[in-house]
Amino acid sequence: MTPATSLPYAYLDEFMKACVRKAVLKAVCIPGYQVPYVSEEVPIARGFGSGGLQITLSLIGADDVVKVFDEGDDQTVNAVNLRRFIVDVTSNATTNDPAEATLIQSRHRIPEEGLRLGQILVLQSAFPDALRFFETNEAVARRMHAEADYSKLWLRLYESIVDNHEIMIGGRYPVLINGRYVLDPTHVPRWDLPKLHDCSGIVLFGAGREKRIYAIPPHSRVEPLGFTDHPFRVERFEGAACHLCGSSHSFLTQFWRDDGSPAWVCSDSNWCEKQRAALVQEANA
Amino acid sequence: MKPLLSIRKLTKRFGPGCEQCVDESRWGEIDANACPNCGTVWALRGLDLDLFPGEIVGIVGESGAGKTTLVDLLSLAAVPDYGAAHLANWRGGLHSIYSASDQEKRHLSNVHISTVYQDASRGLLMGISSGGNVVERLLASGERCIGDMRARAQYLLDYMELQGLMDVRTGRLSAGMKQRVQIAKALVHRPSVILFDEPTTGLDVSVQARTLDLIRKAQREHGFAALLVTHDWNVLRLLATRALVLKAGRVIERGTVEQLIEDPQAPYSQLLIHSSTT
Amino acid sequence: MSNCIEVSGLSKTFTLHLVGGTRLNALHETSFALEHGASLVIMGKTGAGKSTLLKLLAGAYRASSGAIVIQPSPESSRVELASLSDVDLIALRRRSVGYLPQHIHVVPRVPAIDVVTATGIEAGLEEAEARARAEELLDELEIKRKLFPLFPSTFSPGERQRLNLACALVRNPSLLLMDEPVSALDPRMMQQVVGMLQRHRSRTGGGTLVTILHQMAAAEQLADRVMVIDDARMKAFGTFSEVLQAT
Repeated sequence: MTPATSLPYAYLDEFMKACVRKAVLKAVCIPGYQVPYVSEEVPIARGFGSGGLQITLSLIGADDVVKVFDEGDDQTVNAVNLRRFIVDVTSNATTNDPAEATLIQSRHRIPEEGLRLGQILVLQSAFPDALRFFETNEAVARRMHAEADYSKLWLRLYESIVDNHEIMIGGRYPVLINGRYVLDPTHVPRWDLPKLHDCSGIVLFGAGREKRIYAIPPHSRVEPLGFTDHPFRVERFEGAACHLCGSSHSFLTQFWRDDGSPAWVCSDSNWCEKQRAALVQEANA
Repeated sequence: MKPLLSIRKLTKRFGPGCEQCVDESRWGEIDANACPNCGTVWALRGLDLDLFPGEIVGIVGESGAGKTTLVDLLSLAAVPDYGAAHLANWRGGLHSIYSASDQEKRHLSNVHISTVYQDASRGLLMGISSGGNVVERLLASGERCIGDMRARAQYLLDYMELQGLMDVRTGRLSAGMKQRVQIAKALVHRPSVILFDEPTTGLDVSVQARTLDLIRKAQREHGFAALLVTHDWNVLRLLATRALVLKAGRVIERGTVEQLIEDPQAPYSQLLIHSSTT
Repeated sequence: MSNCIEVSGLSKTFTLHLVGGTRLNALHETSFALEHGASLVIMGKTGAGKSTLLKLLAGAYRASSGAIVIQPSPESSRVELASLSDVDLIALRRRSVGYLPQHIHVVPRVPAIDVVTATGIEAGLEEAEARARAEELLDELEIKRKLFPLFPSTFSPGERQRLNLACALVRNPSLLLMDEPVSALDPRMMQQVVGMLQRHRSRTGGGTLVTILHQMAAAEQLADRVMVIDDARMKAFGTFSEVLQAT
């Protein structure tokens, strides 16, 4: 692809960027509230991260360092293509190391080490409304949010406990933010939810297809829903460890080797690399 | 004795109303609930009723008499055009329940005024277990301990003779069982008022008898006051002590159930009594 | 002595709207007074208006004209039936005026003992006390103990009638109105019931009874006042011998 020199910086024109930024500001001001916005066309299909991309393109400045990853991996097709597009339209610097990045776009994961002050994490959201499971009527769902009427959401957790003796919700685990709105944190694993609590960075959610932006401002109180006698729990990987770096305290994904035997690997590829580098350093020392 | 629920001039119309039908003094002349002049339907016209603690008051009338409108108004699913209802244990009975905000109304209908509908799917979530339906009310009022909530639901479902059905999907229960789940759900917050809207209509006779019996038992032991909407005199005789007869949205006769059954005075009441099979 | 019942100019006309508004005169211009502690037996042919009068006294019928003033016991206040709200009427009937209709609708699926106990609780007794009273009354009425847990719908007419009597007596009303309480009972059982009613009167310290009876023998034992009703009118009212002489 040749650099798109005739396009404005960061693809979107300044008016569109202003529209998205206003929506982002409102979302940060009302944590958890889904702000409707004009979802502009970008050269990726809706449902492939168009909402996240619009936020990234609207917020990016000349000195921002960008990281794009997908399900924890920096080298998936989606991550590579999105990163390449951002570079083409901005010529900004990119990195795989979340510590160096100022703007991180992600799908399904939050970097294993969490966020620091000054960082913005943009998450691509498919379904912005946590109530969509049982309330398909948008007007009714908005009213339920307005009145903080979340009993049906709690009922879903109750039924899950009755059926399985624990809450069996993998992704889209509902979280309560600052005691007010219940928010859909996209498909990030339960493992990542504690990182959202009192987080130093800003977390923005963009749903391009559904035309909604919502946010978790820094140092918000984020509580995954849970019962007093069945509290929220993150995933457990008993006895499992990454077959590359040996870590047993990161979010692991399972895969099958060529001989059919199962193995585990860190979901966050950059974190795994750092672990290995540290091990090598230790060995050398 | 102070009334628990005090209803004054409760009126609901569908349409703009005209000079002729808005005039209260001429309501007595109107025989149908639609105004012959402007076509406005007066579903309920100036209903007054005091409900006292621990009693069951029957509401009798044919379809279209205004019974369901009354249930909708009292369960806060609808708002009246005028009139008020004061609940003694909400804000000291000083404010009409219709002055409540939407959130307060949800609280009122969750905790203070429960409704048992003829159509169970109006009162229950069919895709959820029967225990879940009972627990929903506790969740809505902020309880978050599964063990406690399940114990409460278990007690109430056992009380309604639904042993062992707590974790069965409500949609898979029989019609009579669904009504009993509704009653269990209605009882969970020990409400002061329960509205029964034709609770046993459509059930076969033996199931009906059992359901009525459980309502009687629950009423005796839990001591709620109730409005019972029915068109079945046998149900009325069994459960209620006094009753109103509605026609075209107006109360045309009121008295003890004994009086209404033994000595119905209005032509319409006589027609209702003598149309009943026993 | 003050009066328990004062009836003046009492009439009851039924308007049958379903049969073209036919008017049926069931009781005409009846006036009488009954003092506290008296036992009145109402006699007369079938359809004469006896039950109408009793139902008017019980508040089950609403009078077309005339007034009924009731003072259940000398200690209670006088009330005009027509002026009572339905709530007050129900309270009066539960606490101090018992009414035993000719036919009682049995409540399905409730054991006989519980039927009587619940009636006692309604009248304000504690549950244990109500149950003890219920058992005592049913024993006295010779309802076998093995019938206690059965549903009254399985009872014979005679057993049902005695169950109803137990319901009426468990409330311990100051004024008891009974419509043919012994019609389904054999002579021996009838004697037993009459004896119970006598005891009830002495126990309540001058309870007042109004009873519709066809059985002369029972009437003679029970009555210290007799009323004869014929064709919707009161024909005679007085002591047994007075009425006997007059008719």
